[in-house]
Amino acid sequence: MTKVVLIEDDEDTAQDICAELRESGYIVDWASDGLTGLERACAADADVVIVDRMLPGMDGLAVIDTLRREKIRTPVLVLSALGAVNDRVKGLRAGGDDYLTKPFAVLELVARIEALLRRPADTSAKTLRIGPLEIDLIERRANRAGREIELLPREYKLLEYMMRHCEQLLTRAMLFEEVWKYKFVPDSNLVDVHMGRLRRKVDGSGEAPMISNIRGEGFVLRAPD
Amino acid sequence: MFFARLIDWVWNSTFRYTVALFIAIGATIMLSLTFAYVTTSQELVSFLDSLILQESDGMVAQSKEGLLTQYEERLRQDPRRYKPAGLFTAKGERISGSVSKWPAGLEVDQAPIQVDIDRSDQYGEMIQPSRAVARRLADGTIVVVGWSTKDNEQTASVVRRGLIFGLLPAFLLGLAASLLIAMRYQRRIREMQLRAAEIVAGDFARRLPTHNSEDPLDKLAQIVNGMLDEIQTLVENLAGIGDDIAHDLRTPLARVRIGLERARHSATSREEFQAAADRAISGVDHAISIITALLRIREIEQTRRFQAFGSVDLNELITEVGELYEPFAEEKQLTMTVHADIDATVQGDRDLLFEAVANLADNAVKYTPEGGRIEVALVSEDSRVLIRIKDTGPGIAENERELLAQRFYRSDRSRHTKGLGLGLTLVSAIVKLHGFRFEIKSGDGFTAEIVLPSALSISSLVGEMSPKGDWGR
Repeated sequence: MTKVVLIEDDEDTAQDICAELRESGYIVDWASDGLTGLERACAADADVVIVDRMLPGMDGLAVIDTLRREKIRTPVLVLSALGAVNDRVKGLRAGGDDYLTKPFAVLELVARIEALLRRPADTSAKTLRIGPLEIDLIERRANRAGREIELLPREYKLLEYMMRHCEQLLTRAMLFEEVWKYKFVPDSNLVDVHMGRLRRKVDGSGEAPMISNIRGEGFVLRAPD
Repeated sequence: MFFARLIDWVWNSTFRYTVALFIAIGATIMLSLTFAYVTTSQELVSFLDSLILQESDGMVAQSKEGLLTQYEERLRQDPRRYKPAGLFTAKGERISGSVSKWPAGLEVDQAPIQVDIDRSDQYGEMIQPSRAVARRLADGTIVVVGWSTKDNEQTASVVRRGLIFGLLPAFLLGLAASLLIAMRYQRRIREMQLRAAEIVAGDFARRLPTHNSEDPLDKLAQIVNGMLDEIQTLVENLAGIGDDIAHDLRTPLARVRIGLERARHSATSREEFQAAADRAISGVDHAISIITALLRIREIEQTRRFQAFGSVDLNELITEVGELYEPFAEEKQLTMTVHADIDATVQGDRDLLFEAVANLADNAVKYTPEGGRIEVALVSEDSRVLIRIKDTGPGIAENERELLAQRFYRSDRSRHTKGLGLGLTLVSAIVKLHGFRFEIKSGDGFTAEIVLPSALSISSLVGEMSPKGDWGR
């Protein structure tokens, strides 16, 4: 089982996160201050650490800094009420792997944790394949069961990202950050529009759908049953 | 009490400075006149000395040749009584001439000195201050030759009187003028103090008195008034923002509350509860997004992060925005054209500039009805370079344009459209941060323009662009 160390001083928030993560099948170890949290995070069996930026005793960024200096490479997700771009940059620079601004949807948090756990992908592969869908990472081409799929550059990037994170819920914010590399999320359903285009190309008529919209929260790419 | 105040007033700095200046000028004039006086009188004295020396030399020479008539003539003839002279024995007893006794301090065969000569002639006796010299003649007698310095003293007294009667009125006049100027300044400063006190007390509509002159005090007052204008606008904006935030947040929250309450009373199935919860979540999300947008605008307006500035290729940026929004426009049956034919590179924060242009494109797509056209372009016009986003939507009334860029304002036509109304404020903040100008035009649809300061060559903007200021045209 995957173990999450949660360092969060607000008890209500911590309880909500714990409950949701346990429901999703994680073991959660909660610490309410920086020092205890650091101890737990140093334990060998932690798979991912969630750390709040503002903590009593020891600041969240200091926790990450100490972890990284101890050569502990456990992925870290930073939670913060500070949403300014600078804060985000600081969080990531301190060694955080992802940054989520409060308030957030718990589903978004779970999706991001899964993405973090999946991070080390095989970088030497020349092709990726999920079910009938295959992309050529060098030629940047895609085909589904031999049917060539014509993709625009951005659509290709989107598909590649989804294939690297297949069977994982990818939220709009995650897609926008990772594929478009923009730090703001437009309030219109831009991502949905782009996803719609990709979907029509990937899931041809008569083919079993591979891209699905989950509960209005995000998208999942998976092999057809 | 009155005197204390008077002294206080007299001692105020304006007056003090004026008097000090006046004293300085007076002292300079006095000094130069004194110098002139001293040199002139020295000149005169040495002139007299040379005259009496010349004469006495002549007498000594004549005495050697036994021609005593000449000096006897000199001893007798002095009708205007300014050349005293006398002949004395070797012991200093008077023989003849107008000098009645040996002048005290005078020594034989020395340089001329200033002495008081006792003069006695057919007109009477008098003490005559003179330059005088005594010379021993060939026969052993001594001749005293003098020249009255009365003329010199007259000149001196004229100069002295000139100084006193000339400078005194000038000094008094200057004093009066400085008092007058000090009084005027004092009155204006007092006036300004009173106005400032009123402003501090909260009356922001008040301004310092100005007279439209080039006077430094007036200039200062004008600058302060300009600052007050800015502050007043800010304060009024802030107050307005407070109301708007409250209103814009209360609306979705009230809706959430009603929805939850109704679900609690009348929902009968799990599905109905879930649907109500979903609606509540989206309502709360809406409220959160308002707060997030506000914080973001504040961040841009206040932190002024220039460290993220670098070269931004606008051509590429526009193309990218087009690529991002083109599918969205197509979905709404809109025709979107993107023109970015000129090369323009500016110094800026690429992410922020992208966000600004994306926001304008977003608005255009949202507010343009089906079948409309949207144009996103980077153009060069009238020697200016600008980014233009134009749509065929309903546009806005002229009087609303200014307001539109202000926080939270939403044109009435869009009240029903889902959106935050903060988009244009955000764009405006980003554009301002870069020192560009944001213009909104309305006529055939809605046009937003980000105007670059291209009076300078675009690539040389780096060093010359002030972060916030306007540019001359």
